Amino acid sequence: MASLIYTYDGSLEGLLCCVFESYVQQESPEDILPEGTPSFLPSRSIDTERSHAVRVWRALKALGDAAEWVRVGWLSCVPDRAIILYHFICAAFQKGASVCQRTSEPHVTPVFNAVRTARNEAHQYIQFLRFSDYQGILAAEIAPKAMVLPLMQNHFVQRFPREAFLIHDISHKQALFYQNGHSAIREIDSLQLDAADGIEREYRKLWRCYYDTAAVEGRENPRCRMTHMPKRYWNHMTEFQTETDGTDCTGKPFERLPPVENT
Amino acid sequence: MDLMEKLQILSRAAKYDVSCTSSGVDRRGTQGIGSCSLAGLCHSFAADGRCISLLKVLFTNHCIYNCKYCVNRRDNPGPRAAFTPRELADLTIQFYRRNYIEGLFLSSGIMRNPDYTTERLIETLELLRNEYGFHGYIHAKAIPGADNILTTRLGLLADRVSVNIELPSQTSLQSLAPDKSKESILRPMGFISQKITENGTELVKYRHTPKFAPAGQSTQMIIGATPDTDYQILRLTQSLYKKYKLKRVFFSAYVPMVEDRLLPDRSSKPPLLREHRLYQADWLLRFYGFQAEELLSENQQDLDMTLDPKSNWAITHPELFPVEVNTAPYNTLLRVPGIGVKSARRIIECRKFGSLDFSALRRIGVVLKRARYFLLCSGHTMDGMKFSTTSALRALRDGLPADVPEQLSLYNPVQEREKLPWPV
Repeated sequence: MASLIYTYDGSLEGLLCCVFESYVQQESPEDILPEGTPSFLPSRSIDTERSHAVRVWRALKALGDAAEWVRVGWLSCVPDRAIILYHFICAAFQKGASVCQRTSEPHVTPVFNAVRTARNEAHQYIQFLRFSDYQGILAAEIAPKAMVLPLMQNHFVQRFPREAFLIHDISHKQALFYQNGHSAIREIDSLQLDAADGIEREYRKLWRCYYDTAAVEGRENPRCRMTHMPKRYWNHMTEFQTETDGTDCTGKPFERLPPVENT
Repeated sequence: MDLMEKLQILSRAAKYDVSCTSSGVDRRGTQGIGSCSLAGLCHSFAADGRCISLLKVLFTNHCIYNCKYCVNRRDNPGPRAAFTPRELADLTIQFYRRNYIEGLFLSSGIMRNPDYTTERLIETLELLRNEYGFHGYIHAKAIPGADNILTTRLGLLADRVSVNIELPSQTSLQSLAPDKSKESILRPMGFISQKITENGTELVKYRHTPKFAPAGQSTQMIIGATPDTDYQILRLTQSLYKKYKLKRVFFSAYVPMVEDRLLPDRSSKPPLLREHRLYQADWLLRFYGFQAEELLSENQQDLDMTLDPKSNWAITHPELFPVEVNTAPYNTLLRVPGIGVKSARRIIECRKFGSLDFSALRRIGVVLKRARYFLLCSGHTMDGMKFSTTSALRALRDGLPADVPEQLSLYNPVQEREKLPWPV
């Protein structure tokens, strides 16, 4: 059989439709690419048909963790996610629910790794994202590789039930909003945050002061720090920023902070 | 004195406490603020590569004791400060809501007496837990010498309680911390471990019993300030895990800060590699089913600095290798260098569906660079392998010292290419 490439609309639904199509046609695509990608191989454009996607998804849901792996694997945004997920889904239909335990098999390992990458990144952002207080609303900016917001949602919602917060994912133009027990992830193009007020700046300074003090002299280990906290996270972390007003130096006169209101 | 200055003084005084874990409790937030995740979260890493998980401060650095190795010793000149309970509670909450920290690590120098100090700590924690509704992680230091009733109250407010054992032997303690004795440290440790056990049985009977230190107890000791050997340290560590059911024993390479004829020279470097090797051995005790006596003995009192303890053990036990991946039980797999807890589990899971070969092991995440010397897949060694003790040792050494390049000689060629002592 001549090798063939599928092109799809770039959505998870579109990918599921590719699985559907390949089953109906009894063929196996060489690669699955977003529409408009140049290629030398003959290609076929697959239309996204919601009912087809739903059928494939339902069948996957019956196979243990497989559907969850596909969801998270999709969120991982690894470059070849379409084709590795395609092979994984085919393997899932062949092997059944045990597919998620067969992590040493060639069609399963890439998805296992993608899922792990996405979850790890979400975990890192849960640790390293920094909120700023804008008149009672907490806001944070992140620039992840994977679409981590759905994977962090639960953590922050249950950690800060009485706060109102938003987390802006700059790379995927999404934001997670939470207030009064309701949370939602919405597409947003850009988000302009006001300059931080005095109290916020004082807490940032206090934190930097603490951060700088915490290191033990004589044990500097920049490589160890970068292994645990890669530099790409540093851009949005308070401890590596300085205030623009030039007062950012420990030991300077410092106004007393008002007590926190008991929320 | 302003808050910034206090924070600086009191965090500087606390930073030599190594424990900074926030693990051991899984608590979903319901009302108030905060939650805990079982594995713990590290919110930052300082320039020394150590994690910053908790706001680690002393309540005060005033101290009535005069332990020689300690920066807060009575005789040490330098600024002294103390938080007020409200100041500290506010700061914790404000840091916590900005996601800077996972909770509070509260220790203290001894003001007036142990009871008074513990009361101040309790006051702070009560404010946090009851008034601010804080459900995040709290690690409190139990103060040796405080009344049991107070230690109990502290344990009911905190997630983890710890007492530092400070030095690995009674003699070391006597010479460097004359105000403390092994007994005075072990007594509160024993009390806490007993309370945790009691609390466990009560929880079975009454679901709403308040939890006493649900994340357990930990301790730490200073490495390299005294002549104690690794063997003594590991034996002590092991018995602490067994007898006192500790969750963690931390090691802290001694950083010279004060001059004393009993202490190492001020210019001496902290023994970081030794600390690292001790932690590796500690992991072997806790997760890999090793005994301290297997790693070291009366004749071999110190860990090899050029080779990690697990590889060292494997090299000296040729009779147990190679191991067949497809049939070996979990505990045997765990003993192979290059196979950790995760990959051992994955091997067990994957081999149910068919036999594994070396490429499957690589996909699983086994470090074949090390493991290949000790493994067989369906009776075969890895392809293209040439074995010799020197090559095995070179591969197992993690590029740390002693891996000195040597000049090859034309005149005494292959004869010293020894075989590994076991058949492969």
